[in-house]
Amino acid sequence: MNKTLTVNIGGIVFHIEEQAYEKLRKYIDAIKTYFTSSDGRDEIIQDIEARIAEMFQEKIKSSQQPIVESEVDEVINVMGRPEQFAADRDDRPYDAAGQATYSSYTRGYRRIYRDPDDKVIGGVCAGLSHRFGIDPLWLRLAFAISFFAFGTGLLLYIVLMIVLPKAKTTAEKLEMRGEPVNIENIKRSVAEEMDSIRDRMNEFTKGNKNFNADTFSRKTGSVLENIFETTLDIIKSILKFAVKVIAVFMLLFGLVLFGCLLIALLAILGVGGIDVPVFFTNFFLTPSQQFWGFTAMFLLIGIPLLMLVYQGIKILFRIRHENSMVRYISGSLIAVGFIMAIAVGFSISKNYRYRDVSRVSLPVIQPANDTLYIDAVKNERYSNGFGIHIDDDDDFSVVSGTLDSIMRIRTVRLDIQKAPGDSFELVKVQIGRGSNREEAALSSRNMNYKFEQQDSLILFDQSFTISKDVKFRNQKINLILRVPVGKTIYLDENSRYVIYDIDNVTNTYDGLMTGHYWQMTPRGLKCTDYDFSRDETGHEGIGDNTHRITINGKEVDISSDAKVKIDKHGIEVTDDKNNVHVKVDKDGVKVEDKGE
Amino acid sequence: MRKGVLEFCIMAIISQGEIYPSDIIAKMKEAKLIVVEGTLYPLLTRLKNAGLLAYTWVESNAGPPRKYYKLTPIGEEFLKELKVTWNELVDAVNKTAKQI
Repeated sequence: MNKTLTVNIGGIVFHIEEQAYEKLRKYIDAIKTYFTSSDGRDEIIQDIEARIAEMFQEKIKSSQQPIVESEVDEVINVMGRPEQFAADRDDRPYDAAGQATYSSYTRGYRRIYRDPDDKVIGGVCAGLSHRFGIDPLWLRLAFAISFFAFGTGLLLYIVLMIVLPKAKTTAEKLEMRGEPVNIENIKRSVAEEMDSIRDRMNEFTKGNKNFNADTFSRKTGSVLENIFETTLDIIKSILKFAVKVIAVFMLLFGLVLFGCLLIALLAILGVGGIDVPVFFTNFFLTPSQQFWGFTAMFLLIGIPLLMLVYQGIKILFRIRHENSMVRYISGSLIAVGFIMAIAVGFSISKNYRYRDVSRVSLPVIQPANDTLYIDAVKNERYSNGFGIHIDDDDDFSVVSGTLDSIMRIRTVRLDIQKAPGDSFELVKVQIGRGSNREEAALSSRNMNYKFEQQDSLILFDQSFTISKDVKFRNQKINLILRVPVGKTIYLDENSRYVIYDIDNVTNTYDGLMTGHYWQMTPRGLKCTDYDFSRDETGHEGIGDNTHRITINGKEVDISSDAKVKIDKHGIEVTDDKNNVHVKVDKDGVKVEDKGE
Repeated sequence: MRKGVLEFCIMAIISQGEIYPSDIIAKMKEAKLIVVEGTLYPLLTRLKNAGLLAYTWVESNAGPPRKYYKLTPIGEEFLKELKVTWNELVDAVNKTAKQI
C-alpha cells in the first residue's frame, strides 16, 4: 500500500506515489542547485518539467494511474543527471550581434578525464595535459623519472588511473579539452558557491517582501513554506561552500603529510641518498621485521592520507563517478596494514623470549700492597652520537662514526663479593636474549667489553659495544670482583658509574662508597677511613648512646655520658656505664675495658 | 571554436525547419553528440537569450504545449559565419593532419 500524491508538472496533473515523488523532487532540486539564476534557471526548469510531464504521459495509460518509482527512474535516466549536463557548461556570453565572445573568463568546469586517443599506458598524462595546458611529453617524462625515484610515480599513476574516468563520449572529450585547472579556477569554483549563496539570500529577502505586501492575497501556509524552503536553500549553499573550503584543506593537508611520510620512510630506509646518521631500526629489528613494520606503517598512515587527497580532488573538481573499488581496496589495505602491525609487534616481543648467559673469568694481577684501586672510564653520554634514553639505570646510545654506526650499551654492573681464597678474582657474566636459543647465545657472546689493569689500578669501561650483525636485545654485563678477607679496595669517584648495589657491613649506598678504602672482613666490606656506622645511626652509636672507637687495633665502646679530661698530663676518658677507662699520658696508652 | 561545436550542431539541425526539442535530441543522440536530454535545454535557453533562436508555442494533443524552435535572422547570419569558421577549421585540421 503506497500513499499517492497529486502534483502539477508542467501544467498537467499527475498522481504520483510518495517515494516516486520524493525521488523526482530531489532530482529537480539537484538541477536547480546545478544552475545559477544567471543561466536562466527558471526557464530551463520549466522546459525540463514540461518534457518530464510529456514522458510521463506517454507512460501512463489513464489519468488515474499513479506514477511509480521505476518510471521516475526511467525519466531521470533519459534526461540525465545534472552532472551529466556538464558538456554544456560552457556559459560563454553572446554579444548582441550573436557573436560568441571568446573572453578568457568562462564559468564552466572542465573535468579531468583519461584520454584514450592519446594514450601510452592509461591516458593519464594525456588527460592531465589537457587540464594543465602542458605538453603530455613533459608529464610522461616526469612520471617516468619518478618511477625510478622511489617508485612514487607509479603509486601516483595508479591512484590517478583509478580516480580519473575515461573520456568515452564526444561530450566528455570536449569537456576534457576545456580550460585548465589552476589556482585561479579553484578560487573561482569557491567563489561560485559564494554567488549562489548570494542568489539564495536575494530570493529570501524577496520572499519576505512579498509576504509583507500580499499578506491578504496569499495563503500564509504557502508563504511560510516558501520562506522555509529558501532558508533551507541558503543553508545548503553555505554548506556546499564550506565543503569546498574543507576540500582545499583536505587536499593540501593530505598531500603535505603524505610527502612527509614518504620522505621519512625513504630516509629511514636510506634510499635516494638522503643521509640519516643512523639506520636506527637496524639495531633492534631483523630485516624482515623492518620491512613489514615499515610497510604496515605506510599502509596504516599513508592510505588514509591518500584517501584524503582523493576525496579532496573529487569534491573540488566535481568528479562524481563513484568507484566502489577504491573503497574496497583502500579498506582492505588498511586492514592488511593493521594485521601486519600486530604480527610485527608479536614478532618483536618474541625477540626477547630466550635468555643466554656466558661466564668468563678474567685474569687479575695481584696488587703488591694488597690494595686494589677501582676506577671507571666515563663515556660522554651522547657525545657525537644520537642516543635514546630508556631509564636512569639502563640506557644505550648509538654513536655514529664516519664509516659506521656503533651501538653502545651502558648496562655494565660491578658487584664486589668475598673471595673464597686469598687472591683477587674477576668474573664477567654476559647476558643476552633472542627469539631462539641460537640467537640468544649469539647475542650473549658478541659483546665488546674493555677493561684494563695498570699495576694495582683496574680501569673498567662503563659501557660495551655490540657488533653490527648483532641486534640490541637488552644485553647486560655483570662483573663480579672477589676480594679476599683482609685485603682492601679503593673505589675511585668515577667507579660510581659501574658499581651496583654492593653489600657492606654499614649498608652504605653505592654513591657514598666512592672515594673510600674498603677492607674485606669476614662479615663483609668495611670502610677503613670513615665511620659510616656514625652516619647510619646518627649520634646514637651502637646500642644506646654508645660509640665504638678503635684504639691500637682494639675496639672499645664508649658511652656519650663518659667524662673526658684533657690537661697537661694527657687525655683521660672515664665511662662508668660501660666500665671503660682510657688513659693517654707520657707512659703511653692504657685501656681498661671491664665491660667485655 | 571547440566549445561552440554543440551550439553549431543544434543550430544546424534547427535551420532545417521548425523543430521540437525531443526531435533535436533524437538527431544529436544519433550523432553521438550528447548522451542525455537534460544537456539540451540549457543550451537552447542560452541561444534563445542571445537572440539566435526564437520559439512558438504549439498545442499538443497528447501533452503540454510544446516549444517549437526556429532560427532568427541574426541566428541564420551567425550560423553562416559559424559554417565558414567550421570549414576553415576542418580544412586546417585536415591539412595539418596530412603532414603526420
